[in-house]
Amino acid sequence: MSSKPGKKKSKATRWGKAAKAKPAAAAGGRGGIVGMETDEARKIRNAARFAEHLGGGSNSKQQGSGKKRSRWAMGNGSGSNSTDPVRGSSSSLEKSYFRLTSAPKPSDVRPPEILTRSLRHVKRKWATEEDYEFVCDQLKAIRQDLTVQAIEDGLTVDVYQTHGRIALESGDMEEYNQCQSRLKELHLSGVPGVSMDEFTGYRLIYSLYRENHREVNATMMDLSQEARQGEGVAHALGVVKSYHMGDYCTFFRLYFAAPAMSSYLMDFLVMRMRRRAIKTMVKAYLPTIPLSFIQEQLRFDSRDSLLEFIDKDVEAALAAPKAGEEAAIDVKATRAAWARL
Amino acid sequence: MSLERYLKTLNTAFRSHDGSTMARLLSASAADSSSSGVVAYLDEREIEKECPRRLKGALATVAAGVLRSWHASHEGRADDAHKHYIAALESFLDGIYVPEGIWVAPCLYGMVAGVRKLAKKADWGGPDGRKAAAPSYGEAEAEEEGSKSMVLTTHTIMRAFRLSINDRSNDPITSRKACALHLAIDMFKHYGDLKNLRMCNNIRGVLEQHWTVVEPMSSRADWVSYRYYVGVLKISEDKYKDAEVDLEAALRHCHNKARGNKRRILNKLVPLRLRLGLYPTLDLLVKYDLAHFHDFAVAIRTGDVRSFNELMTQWERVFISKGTYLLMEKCLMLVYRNLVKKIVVVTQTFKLPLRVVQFAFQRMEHERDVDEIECLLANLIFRNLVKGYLSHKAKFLVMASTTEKAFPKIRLVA
Repeated sequence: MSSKPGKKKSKATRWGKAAKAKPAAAAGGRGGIVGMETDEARKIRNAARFAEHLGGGSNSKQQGSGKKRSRWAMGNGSGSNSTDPVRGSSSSLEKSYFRLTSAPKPSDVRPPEILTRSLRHVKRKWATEEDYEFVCDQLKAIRQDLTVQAIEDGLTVDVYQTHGRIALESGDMEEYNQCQSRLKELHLSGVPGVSMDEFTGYRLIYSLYRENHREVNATMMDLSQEARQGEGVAHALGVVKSYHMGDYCTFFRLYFAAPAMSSYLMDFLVMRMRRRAIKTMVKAYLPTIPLSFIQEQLRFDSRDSLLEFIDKDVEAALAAPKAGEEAAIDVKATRAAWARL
Repeated sequence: MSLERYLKTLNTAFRSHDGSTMARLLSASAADSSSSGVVAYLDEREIEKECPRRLKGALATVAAGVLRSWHASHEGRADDAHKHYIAALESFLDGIYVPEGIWVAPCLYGMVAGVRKLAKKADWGGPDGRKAAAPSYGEAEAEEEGSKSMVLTTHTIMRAFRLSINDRSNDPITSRKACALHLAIDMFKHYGDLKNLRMCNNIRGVLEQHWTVVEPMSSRADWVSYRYYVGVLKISEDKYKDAEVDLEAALRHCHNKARGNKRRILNKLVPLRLRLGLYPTLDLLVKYDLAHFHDFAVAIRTGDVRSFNELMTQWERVFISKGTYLLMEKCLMLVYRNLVKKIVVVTQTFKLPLRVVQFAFQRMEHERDVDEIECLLANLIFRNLVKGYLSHKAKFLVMASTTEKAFPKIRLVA
């Protein structure tokens, strides 16, 4: 079949998280962020986390076979009049994603049992190599094979949740958003296994990132009392509140107490929150604001990153160095400088 | 009423341009047109034979669709009831609404309301055991299969709206533009059910292009509804100043006896006013059954953080469902402001050690460390709710020298 490769998405720019030493999270745990984690420790943590998924059995029975999720699910492309979804016959463990331009051939599509093994393979690759381009490509191909076969079951949930989490970790917001939307659909159509507490929490923080207040309100409207108690949702609601109130102190504490992948999402809010916080501080404090205080409050990794932020992002003025006094922002000079902008 | 008599009455109403009678006769509910008796012995062949015989053109098609819908409702087939009724409405739009003009507006409005009701029943509340509550849809997910009837209904109402707004005539007596505002409001309600408020802004955009023509043609009731819904949209987008303008206009022009509608408006307007430090009188609140806001007003005015938080917990579900939860949360800043003001009044000093503020919060709320206190006070100063400055080194809050200067009127700085 003739086809062309889909566009490769470049990875979104990420800001580093503020570093603060914390005990390493238990193996496989989703809570707690290790700011100064070494590469090796990171791989161990990733491997341990995906071990959970490897251990859990994925239910690959097909559900809703009558439901058509894609026009490619119609016909098997070989002239047959059948309207059943395609039954794949490929046994390839790896497959690159290509946007479909015609009905797929069964020999190019992998059946559920092969997809299960492929997913396991991709998770191992991510745990050991962390090559996002490769992993994203493979996962998109798996998703496509599920779609053309109209499969909506535990395996589908597992694939979208895995891709959603890896996309968050890699800062790929477009891919994450697709997975998030699809998981919600699956949940609403009654497919079991969606981690709604976790992904609803992500949805709230993602909506803040997009400055989509309507979506924040709409998501909150649908939360049951029970759902609000969940770890992911409760944390996200705290983030929403502290963000709306300009409460940078609470916001950054929540950043360091973020469950699962929430801290990766909060990365996108951090710079915004820091700018707001500096504006608030410059208006509120006199005569100076010590840099050590700012660094600690806004969780900058290092003095250098703070100085760069002050110089480039907010263009605040530093107080002239004095013997025995620590470095600080000169509030009046900064206000005067900002007034001239 | 017998089938024969029903059809004869409908024909007479049509010929005499009696829009309101026709609206009753074409209602989604058989009971509304005194036709419950018809349903009991309806059958397909009778409908197919009698409608074309006694009625002409599109009216026959519309009547047949409505009768089939009643029949399906009677038998508990919600999907079929909606399907037939929406087919009737589609026929009505092309065959009656466009050629006949706006004397049929009451019919159109009634049928639109009816089709929405049947769609919700078919998708979410039918006797076939579907979900009892409306599920949530993300903004790009309204095409979910489970809301098939709702989606079809969206398209049909939107088509009615477009037929109205795009009418070339601007004659206030004959132009279909006169129906546009009412249909826009139906769309707002419908998208509200689908929790897809983003689409409402598209409709607003189209309406406002034609506003100078549409507004004078529209009824005051529709105008008030429109301002109300626009206000609600603005709140959901955190545009509170704009929302207040719209809701205040809606309240001022709302019919004096429409108590329920006034209450709906006040449910949104009172939180907006509380955020500005403007407190409603108890009389007003009692009159419209909103007395719970009085407790909030007292807690805010007195700086009672504990009571405010308890009330927020108690009324959380209500505020979330009305879309005013985040708005009410912002009143917390006023509570903090008023607490600080109380400390100043009690201690008679405008220079406060932070540990004094910390102590007050500890008694009122929960333990807060000095960093949290500094952040909170910094935000009060940033929002001009308190005039003064913080000294980080000395751990002091220093304020302007008089209470009036240190704590400006909230509505002047919000």
